[in-house]
Amino acid sequence: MSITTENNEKMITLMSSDGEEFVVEEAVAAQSQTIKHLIEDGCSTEGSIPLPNVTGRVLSEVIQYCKKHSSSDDKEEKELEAWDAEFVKAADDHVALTDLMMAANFLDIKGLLDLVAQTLANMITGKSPEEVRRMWNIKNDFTPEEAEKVRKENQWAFE
Amino acid sequence: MAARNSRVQSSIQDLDDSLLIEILQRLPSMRFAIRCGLVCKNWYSLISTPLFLQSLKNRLFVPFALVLNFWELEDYQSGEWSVKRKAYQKEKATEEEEEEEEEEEEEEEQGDDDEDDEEEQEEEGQEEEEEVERGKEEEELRGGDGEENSDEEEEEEEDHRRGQWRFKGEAYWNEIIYDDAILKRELSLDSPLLCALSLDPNDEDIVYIATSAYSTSCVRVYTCNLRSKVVKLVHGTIPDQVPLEAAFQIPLGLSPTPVPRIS
Repeated sequence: MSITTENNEKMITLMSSDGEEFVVEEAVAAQSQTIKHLIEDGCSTEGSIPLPNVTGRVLSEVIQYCKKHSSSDDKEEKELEAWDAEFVKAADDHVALTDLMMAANFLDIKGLLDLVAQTLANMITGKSPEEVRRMWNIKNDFTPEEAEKVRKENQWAFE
Repeated sequence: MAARNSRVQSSIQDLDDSLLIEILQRLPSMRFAIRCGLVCKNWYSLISTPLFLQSLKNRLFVPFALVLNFWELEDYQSGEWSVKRKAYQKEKATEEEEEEEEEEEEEEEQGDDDEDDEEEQEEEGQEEEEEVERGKEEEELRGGDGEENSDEEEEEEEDHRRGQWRFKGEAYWNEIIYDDAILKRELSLDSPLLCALSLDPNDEDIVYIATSAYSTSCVRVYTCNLRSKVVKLVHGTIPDQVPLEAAFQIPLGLSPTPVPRIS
């Protein structure tokens, strides 16, 4: 469905996997390469664009990011960086960052993917393997002998 | 639809390997990434490939420093450098063997080689130091008259191409301590024009690196201390035309070493 606002900005309707609809300016939606291509192919003219992999909760976060990044230009780089840091911190409270990452990947929003990936990497940094496992409920499938072998093979990294 | 309002959230375990790699690539160092391999077997299988180690995002691309040699850094970044080098060594070792191989195979073997390099690093350190000294003496004998001695120089390059590559050390973006805002800016670009020039003959922790500024077509030369991770500006504006040795008292490679070609 495409509606035109007063300032002639074309509006796009996005539909999440759980049926929630979001109406956004085309420039905002086009931050996603996936959506941009769909628009270019004319998929947006007949009703809303379904996004079967993204829940409304996650999509709402994604749209926040896209709004900010479509309205800022390069000169505001510093300010944008600070905004990104705040954004990802807040998003962490509402959605799983891994869900956000999958959405960024599916929607092909490189900046958001980078941001979330770096945030998750920072969460790992400085933690022991045991702490990392606990953080994400990862099962340790190494036997003690196997773990020892890994340590031996990469001794320089464990010194 | 059922997922609505229920807080069924994904965990890092639900990510595809390609996304997990995106995260692991951003760990602060190769050392730490390898330690993280102990989290579970899947992580280890992703981390322990040469391709992964080459793709680490925070890596400053001066892991190899060559005495009296310098390489275009673009080759490091695309990974071609390593692949070419490997191919070249293999060609030397088994000239009769088939040239055509799957690229993946080649890269796996290349990983083995890298490990060997690291093991050998200790033993060869001494030898290398001597070589640096020799290089310096030779340069002094020549009295800086580079042009006439081009033959000799080619011989030296030939030596390096005979497989005397050594792992020198590495530095990562986030470990680097800058004293220069321009450098920080340049190095944070996607493809900085950056090359490792030479080791310092008096201190083997120090690598000379050169960056080329886009705007001014000048070369800036820095030292990077591989141990303390301090990067310092040594010479700000050397116009492109002036040979680098005019600015330094130490011998530096004058021209890019030819990259061995894969047929």
